Amino acid sequence: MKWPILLLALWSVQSWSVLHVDQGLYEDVNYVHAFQDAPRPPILTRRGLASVSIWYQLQHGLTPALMRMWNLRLAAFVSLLVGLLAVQFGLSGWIAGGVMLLHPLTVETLAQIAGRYELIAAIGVLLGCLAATWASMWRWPLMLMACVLGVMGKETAAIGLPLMLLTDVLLHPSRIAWASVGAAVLLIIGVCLWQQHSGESSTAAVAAWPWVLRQSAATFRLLCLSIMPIGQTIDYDYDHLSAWWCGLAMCSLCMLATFAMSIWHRWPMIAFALMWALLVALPRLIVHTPKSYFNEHQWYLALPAVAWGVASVYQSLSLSYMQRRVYAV
Amino acid sequence: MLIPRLCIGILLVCYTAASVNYAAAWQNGLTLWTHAVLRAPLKPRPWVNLSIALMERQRFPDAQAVLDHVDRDLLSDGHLPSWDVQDARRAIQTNRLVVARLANAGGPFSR
Repeated sequence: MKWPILLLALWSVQSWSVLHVDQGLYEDVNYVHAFQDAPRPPILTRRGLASVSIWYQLQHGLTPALMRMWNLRLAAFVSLLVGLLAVQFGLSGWIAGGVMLLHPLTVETLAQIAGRYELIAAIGVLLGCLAATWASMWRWPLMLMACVLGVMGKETAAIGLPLMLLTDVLLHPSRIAWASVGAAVLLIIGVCLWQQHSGESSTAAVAAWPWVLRQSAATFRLLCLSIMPIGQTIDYDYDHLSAWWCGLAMCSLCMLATFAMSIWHRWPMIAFALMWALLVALPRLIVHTPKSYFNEHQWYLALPAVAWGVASVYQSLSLSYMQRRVYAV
Repeated sequence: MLIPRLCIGILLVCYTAASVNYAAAWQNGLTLWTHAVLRAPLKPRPWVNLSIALMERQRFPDAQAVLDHVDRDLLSDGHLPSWDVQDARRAIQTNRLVVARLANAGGPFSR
């Protein structure tokens, strides 16, 4: 099967469906229109690079459709990075890149210009993970620089630090590597708790446990949508789920985390993909964002895990299929 | 090797079809929030955003009716968190003022 031709054809169809919208939607009102007549935002700050790119395009009179075209180009670059990482992991780059490019959960990120923030954050994190695959000592400063680049897209890229270290564990396993992942996760939890307790007064109205329960339900739903994308919506009503369902979702996530750790030696890629997705969700359980629960565009950074998982399953199926043919002969 | 490749090919085609189907809801603000209220009819936020989309199309009576529905039927729901109710009340108050101002300034209302 000619993967490049198939991917190009399918991507053209998807791009057309996103590009024909010529207005700002959803978060574009807050994060794009606000730059219309404003001075240039600072670049060396969180979200700085993404904000400056949007401001620059607005100053040059680009239409929303053209700005979305840039988002599509960045999404193609993200898919390329996912494919390159898949090759480093010994998987099919075309399949991983294709899943990342065409997954329906990317629509919310691509259809709004403000998705630029998520795209640049993902580029930073994935570049850092590529650096983590090198055996050289230079990979450490490169990983740090990539993390900074990601945070200049969106502050949620800070989770890139444990993700990069997890990639290092996958390719260069050792106790020190695992300890560094644990330390990075604790650091991120500490930063999130500090952010939460020193944040705006509006978040003080949100109690911790109800927030964790609802966000657990949101995370579980997004995990299910990643595998079977049926029932997507911009604003799912998690408040009308009973506490029992939310508690069940939270227990399921804990079981998935335990399951991932237990299958690391047998199915390392599946374990890696699960851990990646759960790590992306972790800060959302701690930092309260009362305007909305976990969204599809906020899940964008978890989608590479889906892509690598699919590529890994394909590899296993191909191997067992080939083995059966060999025995048949 | 054909069958695994065929499975992946079918998966990618299904993903593309689902993307195109969902992207249709993102055509404009009206289609987007209409899609959202059909899937979350008891949540105030998509209804309030729908009223804004209706106002942008100068459908002021429809926008007013949506705001009245949220205020009368949804905000008394005990399942909503307090910050959601407060946000919705604030948005309804603001949008009602905007509807009244635009409706008086705009002349004929509906399309």
